[in-house]
Amino acid sequence: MESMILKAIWFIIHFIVDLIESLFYYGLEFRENFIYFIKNISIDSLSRSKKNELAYIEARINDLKKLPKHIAVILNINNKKDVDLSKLVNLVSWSMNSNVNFISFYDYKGILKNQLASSFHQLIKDKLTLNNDENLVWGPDYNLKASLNEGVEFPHRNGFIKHLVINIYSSYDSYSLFNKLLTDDELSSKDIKIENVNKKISKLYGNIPEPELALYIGKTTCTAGFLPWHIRLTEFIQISYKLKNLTLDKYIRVLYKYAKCEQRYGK
Amino acid sequence: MSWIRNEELKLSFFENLAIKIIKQGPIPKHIAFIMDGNRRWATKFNLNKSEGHKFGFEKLSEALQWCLEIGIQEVTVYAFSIENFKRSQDEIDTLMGLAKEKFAKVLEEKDKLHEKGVKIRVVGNLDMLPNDVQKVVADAMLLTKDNSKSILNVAFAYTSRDEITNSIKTIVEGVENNELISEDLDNVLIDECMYTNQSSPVDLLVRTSGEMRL
Repeated sequence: MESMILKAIWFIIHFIVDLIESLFYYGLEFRENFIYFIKNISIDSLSRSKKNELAYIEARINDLKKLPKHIAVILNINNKKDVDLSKLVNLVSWSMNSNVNFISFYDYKGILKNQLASSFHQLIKDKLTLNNDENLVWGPDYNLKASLNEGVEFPHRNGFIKHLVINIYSSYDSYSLFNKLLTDDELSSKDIKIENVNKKISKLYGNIPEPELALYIGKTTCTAGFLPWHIRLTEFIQISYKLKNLTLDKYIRVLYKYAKCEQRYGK
Repeated sequence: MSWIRNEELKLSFFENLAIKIIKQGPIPKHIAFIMDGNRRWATKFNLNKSEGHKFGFEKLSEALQWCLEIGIQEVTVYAFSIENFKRSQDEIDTLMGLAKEKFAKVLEEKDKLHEKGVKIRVVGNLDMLPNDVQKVVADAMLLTKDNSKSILNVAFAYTSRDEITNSIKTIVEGVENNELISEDLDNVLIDECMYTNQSSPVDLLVRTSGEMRL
């Protein structure tokens, strides 16, 4: 009898919390749509003039004391239809304008990497307008010219001031790629120390630096299996509940949060 | 100050009620705690850092007790990172002293631990610890190794990179000693060679002090 009452209380409490959470979430979404309407910004924010966007971003990030060089984007994708690629293209554009050098997209199941990569590539080619001083490079997986071991040399000069490397990862890259390390003939057991393993892993992953910031979409804070070796110092910050509601202001808000974090490195 | 604080822990009526209600629904099997912010807390209250660590440990004992009451099967605590060796010798000595004291207490409280069925495992690169600490750690682990109701993992001299590297080293050694063939080598094997190979996956991670690093 007592346990039935307790169970009932459990249900009631959960129901109330779910209710409050939904109200809160829908309230937020309503507010965002309302602001959109008021500002009269078109849904496809790529049509906002590139110069305006660049100026807007530069003004807002001017007084931030630190900015990430490598941003990871952790997506929660269950099937192709969940993803609005134009939002991801926005992220690429905004990162380019905030002096980010590496952006890595990740979803556990690999839907972005295996099914949508070419559409994504095409959309970027079509929609993203680059200024003369900007260079966009695809990471080793998609860039047929760079072999896996060389990675992308950085920094490229060639007259470019802004430089962004795009990578797309899945759980395969997090785990299965490690097998290459195991079968590496050059490693003998007495050599195996963290520094040597780190060098090998760097090469294996195209010499990308560790991501200082990981943005995640959705309610749950979770690494989702993203590159375990690389995330030891990464800040995980939620950018949006849903990808479709991603806006430039949310992105900038995350950069502000990142700039406030203090990193003591164990000391 | 003890590990299992049977007599000392008094839960209020509402706390007891809350635990009973929570147990009606699903509970995580494995919770991990990253204990952060002891020193900042101490400065805030004008205490010195070792006081901060002592109070931190007190609170940890309480939290472990709550977990036992709720019925969490496995709890992992990140007590000391290899990166923490960068701190001042004073502070390292304090932390090591605290560890020695607590692990030695385990030996005293073995009846309570056996009664609650708590198994203690210390994960990390134990070679990096001073010999006397290594000894008490080993004793604590041996003493409780047959308990099986709940598991407490203490990450001491641990970093994830060290764990992965050590795992790889074990495997490469295995290959060199012809104990493994290339067909055996996959990432599942890496999992099985980790310090934490016997643990179930972590369901919930609690990090105090507001940092967002996992």
